[in-house]
Amino acid sequence: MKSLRLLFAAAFSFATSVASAQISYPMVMSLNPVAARVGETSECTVKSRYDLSQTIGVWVSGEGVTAEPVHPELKEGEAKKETTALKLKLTVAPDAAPGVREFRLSTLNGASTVGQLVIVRDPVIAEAPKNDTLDQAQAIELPAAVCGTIERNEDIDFFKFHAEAGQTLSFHVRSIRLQDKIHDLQAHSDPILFLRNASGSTIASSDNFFQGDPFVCFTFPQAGDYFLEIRDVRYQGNAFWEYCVEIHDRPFVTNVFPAAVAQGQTAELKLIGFNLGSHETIEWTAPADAHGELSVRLPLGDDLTDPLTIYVTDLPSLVETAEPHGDHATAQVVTLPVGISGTISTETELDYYRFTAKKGESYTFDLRAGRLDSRLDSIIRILDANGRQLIENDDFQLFTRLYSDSRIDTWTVPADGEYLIEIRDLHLRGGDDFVYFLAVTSAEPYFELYLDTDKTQINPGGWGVLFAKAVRKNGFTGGIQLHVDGLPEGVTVSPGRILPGKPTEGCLIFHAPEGVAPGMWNISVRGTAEHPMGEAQQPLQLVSVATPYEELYSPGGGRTHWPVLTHTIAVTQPVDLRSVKISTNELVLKPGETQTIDVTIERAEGFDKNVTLDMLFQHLERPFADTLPPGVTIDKQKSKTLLNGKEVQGKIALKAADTAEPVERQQCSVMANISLNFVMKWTYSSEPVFVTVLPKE
Amino acid sequence: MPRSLRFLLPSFAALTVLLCGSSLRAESPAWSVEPADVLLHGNYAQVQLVISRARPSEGGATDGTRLAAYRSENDQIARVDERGRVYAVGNGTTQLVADVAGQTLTIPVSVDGVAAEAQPDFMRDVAPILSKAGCNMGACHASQYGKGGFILSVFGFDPKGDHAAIVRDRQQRRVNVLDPEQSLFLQKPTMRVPHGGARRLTLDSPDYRLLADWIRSGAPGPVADPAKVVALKVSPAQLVSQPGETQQLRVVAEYKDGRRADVTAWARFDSMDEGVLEVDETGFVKVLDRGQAPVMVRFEGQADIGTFVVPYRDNVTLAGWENRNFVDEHASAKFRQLGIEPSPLADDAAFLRRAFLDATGSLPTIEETRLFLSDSDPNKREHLIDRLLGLTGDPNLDIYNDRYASFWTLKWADLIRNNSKDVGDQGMWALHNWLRGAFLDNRPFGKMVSELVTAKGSIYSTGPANYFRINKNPTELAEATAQLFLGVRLQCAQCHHHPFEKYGQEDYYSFAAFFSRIGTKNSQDFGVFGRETIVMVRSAGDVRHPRTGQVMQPTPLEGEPVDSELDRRIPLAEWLTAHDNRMFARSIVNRYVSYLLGRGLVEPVDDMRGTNPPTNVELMEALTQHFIDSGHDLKQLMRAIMVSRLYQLDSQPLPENASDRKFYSHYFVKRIAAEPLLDAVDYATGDPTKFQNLPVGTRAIDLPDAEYPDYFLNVFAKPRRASVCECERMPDENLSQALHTLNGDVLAKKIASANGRVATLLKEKKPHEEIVNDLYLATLTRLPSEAEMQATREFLEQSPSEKECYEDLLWALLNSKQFLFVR
Repeated sequence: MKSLRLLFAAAFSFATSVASAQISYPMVMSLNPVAARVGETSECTVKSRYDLSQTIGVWVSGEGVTAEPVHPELKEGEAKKETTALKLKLTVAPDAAPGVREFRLSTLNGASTVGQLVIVRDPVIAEAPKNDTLDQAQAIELPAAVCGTIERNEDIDFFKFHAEAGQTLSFHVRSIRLQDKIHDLQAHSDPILFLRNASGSTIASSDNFFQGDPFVCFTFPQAGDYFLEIRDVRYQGNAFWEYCVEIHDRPFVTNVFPAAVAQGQTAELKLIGFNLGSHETIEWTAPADAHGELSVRLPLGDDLTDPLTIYVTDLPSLVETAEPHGDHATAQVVTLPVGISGTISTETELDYYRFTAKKGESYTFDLRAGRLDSRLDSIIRILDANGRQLIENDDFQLFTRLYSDSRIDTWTVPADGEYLIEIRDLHLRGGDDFVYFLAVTSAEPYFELYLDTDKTQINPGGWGVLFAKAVRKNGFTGGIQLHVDGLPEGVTVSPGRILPGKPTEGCLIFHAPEGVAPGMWNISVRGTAEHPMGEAQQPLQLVSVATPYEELYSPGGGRTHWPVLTHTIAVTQPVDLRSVKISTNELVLKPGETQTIDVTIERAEGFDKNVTLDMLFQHLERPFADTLPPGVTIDKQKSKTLLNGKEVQGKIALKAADTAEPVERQQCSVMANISLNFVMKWTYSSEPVFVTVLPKE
Repeated sequence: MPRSLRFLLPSFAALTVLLCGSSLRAESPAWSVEPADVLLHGNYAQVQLVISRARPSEGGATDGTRLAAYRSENDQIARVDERGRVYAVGNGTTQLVADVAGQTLTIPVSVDGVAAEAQPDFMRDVAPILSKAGCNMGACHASQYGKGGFILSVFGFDPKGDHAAIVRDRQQRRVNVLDPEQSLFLQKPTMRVPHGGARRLTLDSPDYRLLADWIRSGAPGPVADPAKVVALKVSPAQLVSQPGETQQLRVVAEYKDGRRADVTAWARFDSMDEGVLEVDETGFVKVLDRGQAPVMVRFEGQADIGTFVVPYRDNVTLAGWENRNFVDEHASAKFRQLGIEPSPLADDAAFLRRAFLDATGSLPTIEETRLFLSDSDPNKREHLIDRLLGLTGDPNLDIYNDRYASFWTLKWADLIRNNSKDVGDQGMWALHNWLRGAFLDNRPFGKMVSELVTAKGSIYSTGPANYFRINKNPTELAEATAQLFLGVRLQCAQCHHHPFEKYGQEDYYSFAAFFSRIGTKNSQDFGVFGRETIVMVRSAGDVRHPRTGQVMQPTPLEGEPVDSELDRRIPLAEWLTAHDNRMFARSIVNRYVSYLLGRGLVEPVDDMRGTNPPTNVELMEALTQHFIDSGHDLKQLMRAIMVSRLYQLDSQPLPENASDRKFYSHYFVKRIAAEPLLDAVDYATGDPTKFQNLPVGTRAIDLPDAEYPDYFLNVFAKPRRASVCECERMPDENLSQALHTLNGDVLAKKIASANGRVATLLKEKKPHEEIVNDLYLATLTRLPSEAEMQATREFLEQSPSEKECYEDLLWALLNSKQFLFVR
C-alpha cells in the first residue's frame, strides 16, 4: 500500500547554507540503534554518504511514527558543519504497528535515499562498546530488542541473559532484510545467531530463516545464564551493518491458514508459528472494501499479533479439502475462476485440482506464497487429463525483482475437457508454514507500471524528470497515458505517455517555480489505457499504479533497482545547475532528417565539474529509459554532450530514420547529468521537448 | 551356435571327499579332491583339480595337488598334466587316478560337446585369453595409441571394437582365415615375428590352438547378448597355512544364464601382500612369511579372493586381557588365530592424550590432566570418553561437544571438499555450519548423508546443497558419493570395467543417472546483490551410456533400477542409508576404525572392494551391525571402539607383536594432523595463531575453508580439498616438518611470545618444579619423571637465564615425538 501522505511540514530556515559545488543529496547508510519502541520517544543516529547538516525533516512510512532531526546546537556565529551523522528524534505512538518502516530525510539538497527502521514492542537495548568475547558479554534483561552493529571484520557480539527452566524464547534477527534498500551498501551482512549455555557450549543456532536473517525459538532446559552470540557468518563486517534481535516469550505467528479470505467473509484462521501455547485458531472478517495483501494484527487474548499478511480476494474462494488430493485421481474439483487457499503440509506433498475448460479460453494462474511470508518455493504445472504437462512455471519476475512465487500469465485451453493443476514445493519440502493462495482468473489484458527512480529532485525555477516503464501483458499493445496524484501546491507536471507498440518508457516532467519552498512530498503515478474489445464493445479501461524502484549501486559499478514504498518529489535550494535551457521545445522531424537542439546550462558560481547532456536515461551506455519516438536517435557525431570545466553550451542532434513511423508530439527531456558517484547522477531536466515525426512523403 | 568348451560343475560339488582303494588312518585325515566328479564340455574345456588334506587341529589343510602323480585311464577322452589340470580330448567317460603320499584317488570324468570342427566364441573363449595374456592391459595394446598400431580396449570393455581391431583394421593383415597359423595375430605372441610384448603364447598351448581354430572358423565377432560372468568363486576361500607351504587355487565362474565353469586356466592371480605370499599365473600359491594376505583373482570383469592366514605362533596367552565389549571379543579371537600377543594397556596419561586428540582434536588442559591423573575411579576412562563425546546428558559435563563438532566437521569437510573457490564464501560457510550442526546434534549419519545427497535449495541457506556445486555433473557426483559413502572407487568404470572390481560402465552410468536432473536457478532472497544459487531438481534429464548411447536407468550398485518422478535422488538416499545396506555402514565403520585405531580394517579406507578384504572380517561385521543397530550413531560407534581394551593398548610394541601392522596388537602411533597439531602448539606455547579473516581464538580445527596462508598448516599437509580420497591428507612426517619445528620462525616466536606460557610462568615467579611440571603437562600431558626433572635442574644451572632455560625446554618438548604424535 502506498502512502500518499504529505510528508512533513518542518520549520526550517532558507538562510541556512549556500550551495557549493559539488552538491549531492544524502544517501542513507544506516540507523543506530535501528529500532524504536512503541509508546516511546528515542534518539537514533542516521549515517550517510554526503552531508546531513541540511536536513529539514524526516518521513517515516505507515502510521504512528514521527521523526525529526536533532542538529547540534550552534554557538553564536558558528556556521553549520557538514556531517554524515545526524541524530533523529523518533516518536512512536503506543498503537503503532510493530515491524519495518521506511524512512527518508528531507534536506535542502534534496530527498535522501531510503533507509529502514524497526518498530518493536520491547525495550531497545543498544550494543555496548566492548562485547566481543564470551567474557565481555553484555548483560541484558528480557524481553528486549537488542540493537547493534557488526561493525568490522571478525566482530562478534555477545549478550548474556537469564532464562528460566522450561521458558521458551523467540530470537528474531533483522539485519540483511534492513539493507535491501540502502543505495550504496554494496555488500550485505549475512548474520548467524548462536545460543550458548553457561559453559559456552552451543545449544542452538540459526543462520538463514527469514531469507538471510536468523530466527530461533528455543525452550531452555534449565534455569540459568545463557549467551546470545551474533556475527556475520563469514566473519565479515561493515560499519553500516545494523541488526535488531527481538527476544521475547510471546507467541510468534508467521502465517495463517487459509492465507486468503474473500471480501466481507469471516473465516476461522489457523495460527501458524512458534510458542503459540493454546492459541490455535481465530475468527477474522475480511473488510468488504479491501483487495490484495493486507497487513493485519490479529487479537491473541488481550494482546495482538505482530502484523501478518493476509490476502483479501474478490474471487469465489475455497480452501483445499482435508481429503487426500495428492494424485490425479483424487484431485479436488474446482470451477474457474477461483481462489484456492492451500498448504503443502508434508515433504513430497503435491496438491492437485481438477477443472473443466473450453477450447480457446485463456486463464491466468497467480500463486502467492513468498509474497504472503510462506516458506513455499512453489512450482505450478497445468496437466491434461492424462497427466501430460502442458505448461509449467517456477518463478516469475516483476521488473527487476525475481519472485519465488509462480505465475502463468496466459494459458489458452487447447481443447474442451478436464485439466489438472499441480502445486508443490520446488524442493519437495512441506510444513504448516508452506501456505499458498492460488488465484485462477480469466486472462485479461493489462500492464504493469514501474518508476525508474524513487525520487525526483527539482531546483527552484527548474525542471525534474521521472521515467515510467510499462510491461504489457496478455495481448495489450496500446499506448499509456501517465498521471500524477499528490502533487504539492505550486509544483506542476507535464505528464507524458508511453507510445503504443514496442516502446515501454514515458516521462513526467515536473516544474517548481521560483519561490516554492524546499520540501519533500510523496506522489503516486498512474497509467491509464484502453484496450479495444472488438466491434460493438466498449474498450477495456485499464489502470495501473506505478511501483517506485530505487536505484542501487551494484558491486562493480552496475545500476540496479529495488522496490520501495514511495516516490518523492523534492524541491531543493539552488544547487549546482540553475537551469537547462533549450533552443526549441517543439521538434518536427521528417523521416531521414536530422535536427539539432541547442542547450545552454547555467552553472552555479564556482561549479566547474563536467556535465553530460542526454535525451536517454542511461548508465554505462545501457539505456534505462528512452522516450524518443521509435526510429529517432541521437546523432553523436553532430552532438556536443560533454561540457567540461566551465562550458555551458552544448547541443543534441536528433535523427529520424528513413523508416521512422509518424508520431505526434512525444514528450521528451533534455537532461543535464552530474555524476555523484559511479552509479548515481543528479539529473536536471529541460522543460518538456515534444518530438514529432512526420509521415513519410 | 558355438558352444563353450568349458567344464560344467556338478551341482553338488564342494569339498566332497572321494576315496578309493585307500586305507584311512584314524589319526590322519585322508586326502580329498575337488571336484569329486569332472565334467568337461567342449573342445577346450579344462578343470583344475585340487587335492588336499585337512589339519583339523589348526583349521588348515595341506595341499597335495602338485605332490600327486596323475594319469588318465583313457587319453582319448581326457588327459591330465602334472599340475592336476584336466583337458577334454574326446566325448565319453573315463577315470583319472591320482596317487598322493601313498593314497590313491579316482575321479570320474565325463566329456561331451567335443566337435570335429570347433567353433570358438569371441566373448567366451577369445577375450579371456587376451585378458589372461595381458594384451588388453593399459601398458600394452590398451594404451592410448596401442602398440604397433594394434589398439585394444582396456580390459576388453569394447568387444566389438576389439574384434574389429583384430579382424578388420590394417587391411585385415592380422588374421588369415585361409591359413590361420600365418596370422600376425598368432605369429607375434608366439615370437615367430618380433613382438615388443615378448612371448605371450606357446605353439603347443591349448590357448594357441583355440585362437587358431577361431580364425579358421572365420573369426566370428561377439554375439549380440553374450552370457556374462556374474560371479567368481575361489577355493579355498580361506586357509590357515604355514610359511613354506603351497596351495593350488581353483576358480569357478558363474554365468548369468546359470552355467558354471572352471576358469582357473584363464583367471589372473595377484598376491595382495607379497611379503606373505606369492602366486603364479596358474594360481599356485607359495606362502613366504607369517601374517594374513589375500590372493586376488580376476576373470571377465569379476573378482574374488582367497585368504591365507599364517599364524605368527602356535600359542598365545593374551596376558591380562579381558574383553570389555564385542570389539575385544573379535580382536582377541584374531590374536588367537594369528598367534599375536597384544601389548598391555596404555598408562592413564597416554590414554588421556590419545582420547582427547582422537575425539576432539585437542589437548587436555593442564587442569583437566591433573584431575584425570589423580582420579582413582576405576571407570574414569569410560567416563572421560562419555564426556568427550558429550554422552553424559549433563550440560555441565558435556563441555567438549563444540570441539568434537569442529574436529569432525574438519574431517568431513576435507572429504566433501568444502571450499570457497567452488562455492563462494557464503556457500562454504553454509556447508561448514551444516556439518558442524549435524555433529553438534549427533545427527544419525545416515540422515546426514541422506540430507547431503538429496540436498536442494539455496547454497547459502542449505549447506549440503553446495555438494552439488562442488561436484558439478552426474559423473563427479556418482564418483564422489560412491567413494565417500560406500568406499567404492568407481572412477575406473567410467571408461572401462574396473580392473579389481565387479563394476563396469553400465554400473557407472546407471549410478550417475541418479544425479542427472540436478539444475540451478537464481534467487533474490539475499537481496539483489546476493547472487544466490538455488540447487533444484529438473523435471527431465538423463545419462547415456557413452558407447551405446543407451539411456541409463538410475540403479544402485549391485541393485535393480529405481526411480522417482519427484527426485531420483530420493530412492538413492533410501537405498544408500537403508539399514540393510551394509556397504554403507561398513564403509563408515572402516573410516572410524582407521581414525581411532590408526589403520582401517580395510586399507586404503575408501577402497572397500571385494578383493580388498578386512583384516578382521568378524570385527568389521560386528562393528557394522552395531553401527546399524544404533541407527548410524557415530558417537556410539566411537564409544564402542574407544572403551575397548583394543583401543587402550599401549603403543609400545612387544617383541612378539612388533611386526604386526594390521591387527592392532599395539596402538599405532600416528602423527597429529596439521590443525590439531597447530592447536596443540598454540596451547603449549600459550600463543594463539591468528588466521586470516577469523577472530583471535579461532582454533585451527575450526577452520572452515580449504586453504589458508599459514605456513605451518601447509607444511604439515592440511589438504587443499581437491580429492575425496582420505589420502589427500598425507599422514607421513617429512623433513620439511622436522626442519620447521626445529628451526622455523613460527615455533620460535610462539615460544618466546611476551604473552606466552613461558613468559607468564616467569611473571608468576613459580618454582622450577612447578614450571617444569606445567610445561610437561601442557605438551606431553604427563608429569616429568624424576630423571627428567633432575635433568631440567641441571639444565637450568647451565643456562644463561631462566627464560632461556624454559624456552629451550619447551622447544625440546615440542620437538619430541611424544608431542608430535598420538601414541
